[in-house]
Amino acid sequence: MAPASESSKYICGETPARLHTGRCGTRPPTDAWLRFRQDHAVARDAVHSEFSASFERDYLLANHYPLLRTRVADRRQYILNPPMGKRLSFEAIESLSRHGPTGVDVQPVITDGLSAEAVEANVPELLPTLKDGCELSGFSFGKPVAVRFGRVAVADQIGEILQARVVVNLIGERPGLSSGVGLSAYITYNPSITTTISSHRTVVSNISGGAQSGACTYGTPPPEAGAYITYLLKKIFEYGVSGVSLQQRL
Amino acid sequence: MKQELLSVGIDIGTTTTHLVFCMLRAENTRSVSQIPRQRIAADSKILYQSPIFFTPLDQDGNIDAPAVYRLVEAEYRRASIEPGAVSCGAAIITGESAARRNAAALIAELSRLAGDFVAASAGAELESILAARGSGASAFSRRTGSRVRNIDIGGGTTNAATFLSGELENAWCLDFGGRFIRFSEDGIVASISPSAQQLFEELGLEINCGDKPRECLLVESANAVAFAILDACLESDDDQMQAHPQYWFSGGVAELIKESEKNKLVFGDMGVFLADALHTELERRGLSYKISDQAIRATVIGAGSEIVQLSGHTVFVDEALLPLKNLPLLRVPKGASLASCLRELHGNYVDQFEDGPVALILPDLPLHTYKALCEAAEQILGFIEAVEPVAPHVFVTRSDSAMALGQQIRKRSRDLPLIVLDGIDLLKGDYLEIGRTISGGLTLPVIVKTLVFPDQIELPEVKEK
Repeated sequence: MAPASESSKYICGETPARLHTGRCGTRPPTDAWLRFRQDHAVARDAVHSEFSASFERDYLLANHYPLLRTRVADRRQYILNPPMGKRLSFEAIESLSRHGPTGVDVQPVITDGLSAEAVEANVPELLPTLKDGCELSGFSFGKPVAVRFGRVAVADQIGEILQARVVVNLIGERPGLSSGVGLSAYITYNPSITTTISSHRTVVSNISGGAQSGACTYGTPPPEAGAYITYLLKKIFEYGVSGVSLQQRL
Repeated sequence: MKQELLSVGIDIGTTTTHLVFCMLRAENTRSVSQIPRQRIAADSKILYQSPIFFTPLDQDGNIDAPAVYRLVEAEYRRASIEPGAVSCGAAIITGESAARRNAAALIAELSRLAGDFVAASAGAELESILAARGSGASAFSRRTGSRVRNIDIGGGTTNAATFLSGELENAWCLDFGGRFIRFSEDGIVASISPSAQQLFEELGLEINCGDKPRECLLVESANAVAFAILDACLESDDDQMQAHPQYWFSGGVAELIKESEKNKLVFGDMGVFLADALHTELERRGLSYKISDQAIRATVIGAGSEIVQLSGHTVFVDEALLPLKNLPLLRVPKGASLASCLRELHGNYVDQFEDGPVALILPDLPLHTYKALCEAAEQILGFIEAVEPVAPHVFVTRSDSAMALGQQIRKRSRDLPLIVLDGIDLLKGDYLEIGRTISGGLTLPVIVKTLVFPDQIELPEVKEK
């Protein structure tokens, strides 16, 4: 339904939120209701999405990025028992320990989180500019590690095992009704499973618009996000903090 | 980190000259977890307003440049502001003053005296836009989502601009203002503007230089000019489809509509007569209208507080290159390949490329993938290597990709003096100016401006120290 006035058209253009949908009696009009149902279904599908076989083969495997598991057995358990997604499986700890410690400045982690689709669409476009930026700034850049059924904090354990100075966890965001393909980057200085808490993390959210995800005009394009994360890394190394403490200094 | 910007607006008009100092505040409009987006907040404070001076003229009718410099310097002292403390703003030359012979040199020199990053500007369209911003008409339009037309009637010109929901729809200028007749001290006609002369001939009004016309003749001439202005600026009633926009009036003559003067010739021109004629005619037509609270100062406030914009938060910049002034803005056409479009543009504007650095606005490229980004960086670099334009190299992208694109160019050429910007509204400007970074080096104050002098006098070279 067309917005009623010039001002409502302007307001609708500023946000993807569902404004001025109209009504039919006490209920939304059919088209608005169907669109709501459709977007809700997209969000639910995104939560249950897993890395596709082609992503694992043509991206992770082709680039020799190891794919690790958390203590979660399947997607259902992942949704129902969040703490299990924060720790690596014993096999994964063992195989990672064989590679480390590397002591790199920046360790990237690719985690499915609550939207594997978002990771598939945006990470391949973001990682190269992040890597280029780190090289230009003289930061050593670790080989990316992918995690299935992972949550934000799983990167603390990976960072600790590899003794990385900073971990950057690129993780699929909790889908909303306007986008199922948003990616976030959680950046943690001095990661540790015993001392890191949420306020130690710097986050860049709402990264979207990568290759396969179609038109989403409200997010930050992934290559630009990669370049911006490089800037944040410079500040993190300069001040020796991340998260709220960094926010207060910027 | 600096989040406040001290800004100056200086307006050299046909009749009056004045200036204003504003404190602008940058604010982040996004949530904490997102890449910030800095904007100039709506609550900029006016720190100091100068009195309204008559524009000093010499015997030949040119602007008395040394007198203008003295006046501006005196006002800086009175406001206790050092030019070095002023971080942005604009000195604009408006109305008929822009047509004076020494206008271009004067305004360039003045902007240099006024502060490090004060733009010299002129141009009827920009003046119309700044007046509408300074009067509050464009902000009202944004707030209410309505169509508002601001009509700024000064000494030499009338500048109109229409905004819909805060977005510019159109802007234009007429050669009519309160100074269409200038009187010597004894009430004798000293000069008549060419546009008024032509109008009088068409209507058979007998007013000539050296006359001392009777008041009724002056009233009649003011009515004629008022009609000409309103016919050009108000929507005609014939068009049934289009509702009237809301009309706002600003400028010196609008000030006189608000408070009429008893002594009609107090300013030595037709300003008071014209204001009375406009008032009468507006009432007769029964249109509702508003006189801006900042009527006479609308343009100067626009120049002080509205000309500066902030770039996107992720830009790529060599700080040592700033500030940059008077870069011609060239728009790269959209076509099959960026490389061929860049070459085509270069072919069309060889002179600009040879004269000094230019700012290139890239077409709307899909830079959301790494591959596309690398291709764009390589084509741009190939162009720079082939053509060797004057450094620094300034690019403006339409999509949010300046930092990533700059990084890819830098990766391929480590020492290139380079600036890549995004997130700016280019309006219809012809020149770009870039100030020093704010917000920890990620946001730049930017001025997009025009420089139109009717007799096309070249601006003197402004060399940076």
